[in-house]
Amino acid sequence: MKYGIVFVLSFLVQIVFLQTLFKPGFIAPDLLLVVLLSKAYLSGRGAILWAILGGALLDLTTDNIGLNLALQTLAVYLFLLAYEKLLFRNLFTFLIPASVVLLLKRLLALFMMRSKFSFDMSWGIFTLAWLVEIILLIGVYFLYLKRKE
Amino acid sequence: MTGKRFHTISLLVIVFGLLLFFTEFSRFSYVREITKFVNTLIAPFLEFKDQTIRELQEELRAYLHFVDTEKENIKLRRRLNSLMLTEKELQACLAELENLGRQMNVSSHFEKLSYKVSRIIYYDPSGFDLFVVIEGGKDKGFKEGDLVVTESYVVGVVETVFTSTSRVITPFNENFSCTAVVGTSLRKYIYRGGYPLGNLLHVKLEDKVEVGSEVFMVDVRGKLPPFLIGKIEEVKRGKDPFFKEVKVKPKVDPRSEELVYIIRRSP
Repeated sequence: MKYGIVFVLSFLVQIVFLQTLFKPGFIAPDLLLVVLLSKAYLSGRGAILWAILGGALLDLTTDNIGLNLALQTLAVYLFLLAYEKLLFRNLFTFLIPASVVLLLKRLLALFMMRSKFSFDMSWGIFTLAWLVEIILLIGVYFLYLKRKE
Repeated sequence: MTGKRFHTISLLVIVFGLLLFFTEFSRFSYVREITKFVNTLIAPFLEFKDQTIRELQEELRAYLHFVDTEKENIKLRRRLNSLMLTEKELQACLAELENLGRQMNVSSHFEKLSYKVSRIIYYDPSGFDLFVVIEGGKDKGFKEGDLVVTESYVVGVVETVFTSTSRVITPFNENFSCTAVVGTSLRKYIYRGGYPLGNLLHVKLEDKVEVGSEVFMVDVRGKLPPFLIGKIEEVKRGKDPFFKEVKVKPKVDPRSEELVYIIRRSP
């Protein structure tokens, strides 16, 4: 229930605020994915269903159905695969795989969108959005995950 | 979730998502209707965000305006304080001046001047500017001895009054003479006209009179304010063993004046 509220709030912040702040919208910091990765870190494989739901919801707000569904699921899936291989838990076992899958998701989204559309994009803003995601990951870890471990 | 189910669901969803994306599934009309419906649900949040941003911007603009106004107010308050202080000092100076004037029997409150405005219609043809002729004479009630001035300095004195014109002798004319003081000194002298320099008479050897000091015409009865005659050009020991010889360059240039004030000495 608690997670459901956080999930909905993140979804709304993502589409109402973040995706309108960045152009093109898909390079915006993916707050929902950060929340999904946190869930995956705490609850394990069950988080993949939340990822499917989140991806599907995000897709329904855009004209590119399938993009978020595939990439959110892939990101959480890869994160879980990497995270299950690790023997202990600390900031880096969460931060490094999460940052990598977030970057991978951004790059894949970019290549997929470029394969269909042509648009201008600033690499500086692209990197900035990724750094914001890393800061969000660190924040979530220290404010929530560390206490729940 | 078991291992096999987890991998199968995940990979299937990923492949399905990619398929939807690359087949441009969102272009189907019924899918468009669904996305439109979802967007309608989200629209109030977007409106709320826009309204919040607009209000925040207005608040910020109002705050910045307020800060600017506050800064401006502080500056103006400082300026006002400084001006109030200056006003106080000025009032103190005026009171002091009044006091001094009473002690020395000099008044700074002049009577209301009776004057008329006239036009210069003729200049001295000799080029020495010894006189000018002004419009108005007996018809306007001008009298010999009336003072002719501009806003701040002496143009001359009415010498002869005709029916509709008057002849005014300037400080360059040897017939022009008046009571004069140097700067703020209270000691009175006689100014006598001369071309190109007039003379200040009866300046004692011990009197401090310097080159560049201004010479003012004063009214011995204290009814008229002082008017500038000119500046001291030369100070030297003359033939007279008791007095200095002081030369004054008159300020007036009659040819550059058009309108003058005729001050009636006696109503």
